[in-house]
Amino acid sequence: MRTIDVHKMTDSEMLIGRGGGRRDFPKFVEATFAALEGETVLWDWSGIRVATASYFAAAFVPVMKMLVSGGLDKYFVLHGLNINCEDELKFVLESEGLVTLVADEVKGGRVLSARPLGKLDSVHAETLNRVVRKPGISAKRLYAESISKGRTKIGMTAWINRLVSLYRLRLIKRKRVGRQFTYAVPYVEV
Amino acid sequence: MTRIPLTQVGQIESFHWKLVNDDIPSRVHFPFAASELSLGAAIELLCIERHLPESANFNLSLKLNNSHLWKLIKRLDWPRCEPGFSVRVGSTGFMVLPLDSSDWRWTAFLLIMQKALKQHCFPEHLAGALTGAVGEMVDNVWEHSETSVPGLVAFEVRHRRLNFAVADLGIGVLQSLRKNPHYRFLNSSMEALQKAILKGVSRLQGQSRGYGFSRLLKAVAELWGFTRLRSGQAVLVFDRLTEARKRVHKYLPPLPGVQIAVCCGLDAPASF
Repeated sequence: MRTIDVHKMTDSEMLIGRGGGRRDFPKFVEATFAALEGETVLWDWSGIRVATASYFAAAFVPVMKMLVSGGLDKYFVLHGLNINCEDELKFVLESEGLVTLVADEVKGGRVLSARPLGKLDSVHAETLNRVVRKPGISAKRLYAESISKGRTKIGMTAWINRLVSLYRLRLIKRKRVGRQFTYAVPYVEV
Repeated sequence: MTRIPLTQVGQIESFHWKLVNDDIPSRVHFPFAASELSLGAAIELLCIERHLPESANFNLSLKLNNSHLWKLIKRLDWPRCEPGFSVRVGSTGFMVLPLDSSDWRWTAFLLIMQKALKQHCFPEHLAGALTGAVGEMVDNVWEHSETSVPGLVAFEVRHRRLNFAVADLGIGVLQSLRKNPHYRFLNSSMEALQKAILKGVSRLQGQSRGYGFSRLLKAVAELWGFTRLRSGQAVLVFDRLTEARKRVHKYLPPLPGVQIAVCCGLDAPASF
């Protein structure tokens, strides 16, 4: 995992407006491309006092869209957003139908816990929770667990679809193990 | 010498009508204590004066008292002056906008404003939201006004209240939105203003646009006050004092650009 200090990168505490976002967009792209394939980028926003919806929409959301479109196997976790910045980002993410992970606890550059921010329906949120609780879980195991709990309505294909959706949103990463994929949140090493 | 008392933005409207109907002589004196004139009214008056043709020989004579803000405004010969700002830390600020947001003075101005809000008991998140809202409005000037005339921004914080105003003499909301093929059917400034405040509506096509006005209204919605948006011949007012989220629509004499005035506070005042 590599940490990017947004304040240092942008050289500003006030990230405002589409103009400012357009100016800084290349910096976000450069930092993202500098990460290795499969690596997680921890964006540290703690030095930012104000960041507005238009700024996020012009600088950060396009980079998120690059990930979601499948071009890049990289993952984002955000940290240190103040209430206002988080509210502005949430507004944009919900408008764009995107989701990202926001870390609540970070210690020594390691994320201890995170939650989704944006538009995530309850079905996918529940699946994400299961992956958080059991890193390295597969669709087969999720299916087996649901049968043991008497929830047989959720078939194997449904679990696969949910996991693939979360992977496409870059909320979880996957690893091929034999003939199946195992999934984990991007801030946990499996 | 005609004496016209003006204290609120609303009164500027009748003054402007009289002006275009030639009911007002060429030299007008405003004999109010400067502190009585709201910031939005002052900035709008300035725009009206600058928009008048040279031949009008209209002389906006302002009686200055000890109001710091008025001194700032008077000192700068907008729009002929160079970009720059002047502030009284903790209370007021006035800025003739630079060419773009990368200018250090713009960041400094916003930091000073945010600090002033905190000093006047505005909670951290509201100080951030309001500073962001001012920033968004100014960004709109850079993005959409399409004029070489620099815009203006000013704020005044006192007694747990914030007044701010952003103004430009550009193409206005109607001309700007019409550049987007989806909105070329718009017929009036009023229609354009009503569209512009909706999320996702912008001159520029594509997603991830048109967040500015909706964020401004959200930030102010948490407070007691009103937001006034003027462009072309239209005015939209959101007034929480008279009635929650009440909208007032008005038609006025044409004025280029966009003028925004916000007057809000943590407590409900007796009157504005």
